[in-house]
Amino acid sequence: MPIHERSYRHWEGKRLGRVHRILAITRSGMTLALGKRFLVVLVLLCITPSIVFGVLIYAAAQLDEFMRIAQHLLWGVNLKDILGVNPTLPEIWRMLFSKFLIVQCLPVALVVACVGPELVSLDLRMRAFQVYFSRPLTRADYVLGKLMVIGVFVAMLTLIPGVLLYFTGVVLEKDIHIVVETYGVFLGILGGYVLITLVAGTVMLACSSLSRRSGYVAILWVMLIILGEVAYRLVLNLMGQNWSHLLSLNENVAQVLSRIFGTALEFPVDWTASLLVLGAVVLAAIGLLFARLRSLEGAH
Amino acid sequence: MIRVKDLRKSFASVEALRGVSVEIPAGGAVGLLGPNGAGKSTLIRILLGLLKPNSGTAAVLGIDAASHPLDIRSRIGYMPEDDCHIPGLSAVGYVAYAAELSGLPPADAIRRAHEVLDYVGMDEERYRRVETYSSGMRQRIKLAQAIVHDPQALFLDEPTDGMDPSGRDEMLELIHDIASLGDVSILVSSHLLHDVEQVCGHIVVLGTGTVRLEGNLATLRRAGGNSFEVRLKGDASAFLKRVGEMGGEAHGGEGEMLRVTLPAGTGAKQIVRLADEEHVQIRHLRPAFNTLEDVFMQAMRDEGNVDVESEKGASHAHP
Repeated sequence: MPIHERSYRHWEGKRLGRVHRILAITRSGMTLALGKRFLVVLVLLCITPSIVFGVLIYAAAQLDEFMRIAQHLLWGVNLKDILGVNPTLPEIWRMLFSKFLIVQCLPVALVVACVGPELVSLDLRMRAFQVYFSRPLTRADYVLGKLMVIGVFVAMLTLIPGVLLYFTGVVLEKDIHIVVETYGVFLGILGGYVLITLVAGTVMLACSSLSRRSGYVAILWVMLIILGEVAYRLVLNLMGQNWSHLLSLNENVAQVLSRIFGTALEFPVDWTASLLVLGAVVLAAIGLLFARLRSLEGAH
Repeated sequence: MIRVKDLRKSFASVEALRGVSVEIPAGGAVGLLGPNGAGKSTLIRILLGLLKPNSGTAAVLGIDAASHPLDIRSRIGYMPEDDCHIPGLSAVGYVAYAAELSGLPPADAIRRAHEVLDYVGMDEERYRRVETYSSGMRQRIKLAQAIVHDPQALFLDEPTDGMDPSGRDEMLELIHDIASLGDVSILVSSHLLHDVEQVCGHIVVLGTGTVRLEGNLATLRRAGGNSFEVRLKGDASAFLKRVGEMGGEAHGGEGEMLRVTLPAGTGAKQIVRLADEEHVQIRHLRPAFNTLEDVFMQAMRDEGNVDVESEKGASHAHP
């Protein structure tokens, strides 16, 4: 018997299912992205707004105590009566978490600009589609695997700090009943995360499928964000149109987020228009992405 | 292994496959030959389930390619012609990743990756990034990723492309070794007739979207008719004259190996008789075999509209 057998050997084992294959794609994308040190630093920097919101959550938890002290110091005058507001804690939380996700949209756009361009374009450049599509993978599996890479990074900036802030607030309240009163906020964080991931992920992957050069993709992404914002402000200032926010991806996301959390809308118009715009953008991005993949799959 | 019936595929106005029907037996290696534009790549893409035919059916390992492409792809290993890899990965990482994409558990994938890299002859360089490899090493990696999930069939597209002579021989040896196992069927698409001749027992020749020739290579090579290889000692001119008189043909010069083709109904005995009568000595006599090049060129000539000379040039590109 040879000490080291180098002839062809068969493999006998049980193959794992589709989910495992999709996760393998995600893991590979994560490994590639986390190989860039600056990205790790950028993600850490982009999480810092969470600290500010953490302080605000703490302040909200201490609001009654603060009012009591103020009332004592102000010879019994109730600040809430003077300010004419008497927000409940769930209202404060809804407002805080809504703003938190809206604020995080910019860091998300920045991180996605660094992570996303290479996801498809590099496979295009290296002709890696031949490796993927000669295996038991569908186009949807491939897209889902890549989308989850963006999803993980968006989670680092929104979902994970959001959930941590939420539970920090629950712990600071020292009353489990707060969960019953604020479960909508928790669901809002999840919903907001899904919304941001879908919009940022599909649009970025569609952009990434358009070029072999990830630099061009990053520029295209930034242009999309900036041009949308510029168009929104131009139309608003020149024409005073109250639908102008529909031109900006960011503002549409903000509008829908404020609806998800049940706070005052960012723009005084029907939020469903923003939802429809975002839905159309996501569908168009998915359509473009799949059309590109179909042509590449058959072409290799 | 492959059963294709009346397969048609068009791209806009170009008809890539025009009613291809072929049945390739399982086991061993099969060569898929044809000039550029013959439809080889289109056929492979249809067999992998990446393209849907306009009409006709294609089945691999008994599975319909159009309706169950993923089942086929989980049983097939594909080595593409183009350079392709996953950026940023070492050979081990790349091959293990390919294994995971085929459904192997991570621990098995890494173990199996090492096994197949051993098999294709990659040693310590397997820890280097694939981008840094020579084209020969990349060919080995492509073979490794194609066999890592232990497929029942292998589709190899130009497997020796860009390899030096010794690397090419090693690659052909690997293909021959896998084919000799008997339980892995191999389809080798190549321009290099010499390579196909070395490893394949069966060939399919495509030309302008149709099957020009198909069959067992040994049988096709024997189909040279009533031809013999003859080497004579002495004055061969009278012998050659006599061959012509009886309706045969003889090619080759004085002292060289002659290729003698006799009319039907005659045989080696006539050659011996003629040699005896013309007082020349026979030093070598055996039935002549066509080379694969002869077989291929004949198939392409039958086609009539193919640039045979350019294909001949391609076939001579190997050492």
